[in-house]
Amino acid sequence: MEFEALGTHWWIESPAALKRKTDINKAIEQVDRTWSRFRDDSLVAQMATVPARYPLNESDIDLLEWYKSLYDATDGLVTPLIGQTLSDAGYDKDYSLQPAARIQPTPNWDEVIELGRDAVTIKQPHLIDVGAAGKGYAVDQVARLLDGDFCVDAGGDMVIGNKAMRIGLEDPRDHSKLIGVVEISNASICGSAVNQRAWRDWHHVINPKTSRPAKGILATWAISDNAMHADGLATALFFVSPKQLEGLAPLKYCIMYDDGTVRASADSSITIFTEKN
Amino acid sequence: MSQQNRTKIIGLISIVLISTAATTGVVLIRNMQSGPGSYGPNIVSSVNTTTTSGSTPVSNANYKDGTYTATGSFYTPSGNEQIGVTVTLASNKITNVSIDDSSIYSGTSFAYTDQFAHGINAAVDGKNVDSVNVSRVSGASLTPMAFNSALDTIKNDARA
Repeated sequence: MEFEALGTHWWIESPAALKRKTDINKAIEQVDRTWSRFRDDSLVAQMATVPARYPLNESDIDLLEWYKSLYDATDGLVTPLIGQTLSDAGYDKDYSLQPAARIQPTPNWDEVIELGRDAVTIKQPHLIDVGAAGKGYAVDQVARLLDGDFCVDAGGDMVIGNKAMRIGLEDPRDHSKLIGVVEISNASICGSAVNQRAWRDWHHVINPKTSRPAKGILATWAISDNAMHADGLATALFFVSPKQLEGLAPLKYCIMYDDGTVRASADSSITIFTEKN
Repeated sequence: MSQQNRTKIIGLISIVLISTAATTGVVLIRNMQSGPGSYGPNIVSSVNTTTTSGSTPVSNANYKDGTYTATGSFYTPSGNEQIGVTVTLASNKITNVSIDDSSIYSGTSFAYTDQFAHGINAAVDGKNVDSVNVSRVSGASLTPMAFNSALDTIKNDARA
């Protein structure tokens, strides 16, 4: 089954998917209503204006806890508080793509967020953006409704069930080519590239300390146990070395640098097409 | 950034500073190329003095005590990176040097350090997607329609 949601194209392969269609749509709508910064009725829109204690369900708390792990491991470079900076740069809810005269700096976690076990307290209003791990999170909410052999693919961020699948790594410079193949089962792969959501001298992976796009890397892929982890790790790889992410979650990766060279985990499940072979 | 590069940058910037010390409002541009094939410092610096002065610089002359800041720039494949250096002069000696290299350790240039440190990488030789047996493709090929149409609007505006 295929459809558009959360700003991308979804493709679900599963015998049970049609039967679960209503639940799948509800799960996606729930994520969108909570975390979208592109709609005025979302919780994120409220958090951007009203400091308060916001009760959240368990999976949303998990998402913020995961963000805190990434924040700590990357010394603040992966942060949900990048929303206002992104918006100022032009990637706002109206897609104006016009950078503001002044790009607001990104606050520290503790200035805004106090995370509890069933609620988050927003100490001062700020625009949150969960793009770094949010799509993966949404894919997980759908994947947990399915079992057996399945694939949930949201624009290249995917969860794969029991049956192993060969997934091509798309060359960001030429979409008719693959730079490699990975073989995975009961895992997730998420990819991130910077030449798609790009405008003027900006792209959408922004370094909160420089308030400028991350440099040097063209695309990353991360394979992990679930999509929330894989998506967050794929983002983190734009800012820190894989070594710095050890221990956060299972990780196999592939990084493509600006010059077209690639670095990948030495794992038999990953094949990179290099000039040597 | 490696220790040698830091030392080189400080050294070069210090030379620039000393040669313009005791002059107000001077902007000095020096281009110093490092050796071929390296990404060493290519210093372009501007000096802002924080003291007022009376004398013009003369070699071997007295340099006015004070604190001077300069911005050094070094080359990376995707453009120049900035580094700030603060030097204190007292009795014609540098008594303190500090560098503000937050941009380097904040992930701006780590990709290059990381890349070179591992002595990677074979260049990729992509294969046509039709020639490889895969079930799905992971990439970022699908940009939201709203984003694309916004880009189109900008391009049209730019042409107008």
